[in-house]
Amino acid sequence: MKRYTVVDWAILGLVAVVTGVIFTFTWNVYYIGKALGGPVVARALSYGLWFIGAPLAASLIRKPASAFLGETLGALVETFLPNAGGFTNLIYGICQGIASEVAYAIFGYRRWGVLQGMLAGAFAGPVAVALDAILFQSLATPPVMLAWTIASVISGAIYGAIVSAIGRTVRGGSEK
Amino acid sequence: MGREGSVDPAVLFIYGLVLTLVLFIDRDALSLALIGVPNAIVGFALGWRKYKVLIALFLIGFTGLAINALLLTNVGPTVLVVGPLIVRAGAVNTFITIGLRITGIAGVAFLFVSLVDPALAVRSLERKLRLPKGVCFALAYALRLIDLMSKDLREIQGVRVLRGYRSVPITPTDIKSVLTPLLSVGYERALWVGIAAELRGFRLRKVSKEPLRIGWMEAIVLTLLALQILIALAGMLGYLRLVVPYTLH
Repeated sequence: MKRYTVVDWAILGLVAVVTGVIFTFTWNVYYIGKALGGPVVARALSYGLWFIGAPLAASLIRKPASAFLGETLGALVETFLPNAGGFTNLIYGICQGIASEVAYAIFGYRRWGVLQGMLAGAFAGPVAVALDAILFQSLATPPVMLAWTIASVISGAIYGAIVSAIGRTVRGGSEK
Repeated sequence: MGREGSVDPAVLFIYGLVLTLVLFIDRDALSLALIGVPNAIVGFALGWRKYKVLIALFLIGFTGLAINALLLTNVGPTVLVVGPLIVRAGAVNTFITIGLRITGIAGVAFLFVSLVDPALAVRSLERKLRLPKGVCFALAYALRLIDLMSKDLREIQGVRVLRGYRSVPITPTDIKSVLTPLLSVGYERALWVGIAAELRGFRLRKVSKEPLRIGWMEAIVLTLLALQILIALAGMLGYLRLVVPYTLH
């Protein structure tokens, strides 16, 4: 396994602050959505943005576990910032990070491109929906679950692709 | 670690994380009320001065929860009739159960952020809870960067306004055009911070480990945590109904 250098940890810190701040900003979108349409609409509107930590970190660092660490550290920073989610952010971050890591593991940690980023975002979706089903158990009726899952996978894939492309631009070089 | 009379951040971290997990999996309305309401009262009271807008936004969100409950789970016997609107037991139960859960979680969150300095919390997590030093370095760096990145973001927003674009990113394209320069500047900075830390011998730095000292305050917090776990267990196993005959279900 490739060792993490201090530069890698510093880049993870950068990803954590960017994602942590974006995650915290996304809470505003969530609050507005929740007031207008409840948790169901709020989740559908804000889903993809919660999943960007993993593909962003992976495309910048390109080492095993970078996707997991990117999502988890972003969630930990978000936990330290004031918002109503509190420690649920960390629970979601760890679970989503593990799911996103799978997208890079299935390619043997050899490819870190837009496709992998898209998959990392998409894989986090069903995990987030499963956790939502625990949190909002009675609201998670089968039609709502289906809508949540489709919305989260599409949204995660779009934002995963975008941040992977950004990561590639910032880091430079090929996707290998 | 921490000021005289204050609770160790590591203990508050454990309290927040464990209690959130408990609230996350608890299904019993009565135990959710017994755990969620006191934490919410304390958390909102402590956070009200600094975070009143966030707390107000959170409370406004309950209208949406009521709408969802009425649209998705309005089944069972009629509880209330308001004009053409018939409110049934299913919607009431959903509103109360989910409302109590998210109120409790938010209460714990505001309690934690009101009492804990993030920098001290990271140091405490490294020294007392043995979090790897690389992870703590990344966290500490991230927390130090917040002000600097906010300044960078404001400058990017200013340039976007000058070019005739909206300052607040809404669409995915907006997000891309804001994130790319923000990350480019941050990446360069992180690269040099990492090199500087490496040259100063970060890899060889020994972390001074400290035992988790349990004073009076920590003992009170941990006892309250244990008590709340017992309440949740009693609720989930149905024992609370023997003590308090009325339940929502």
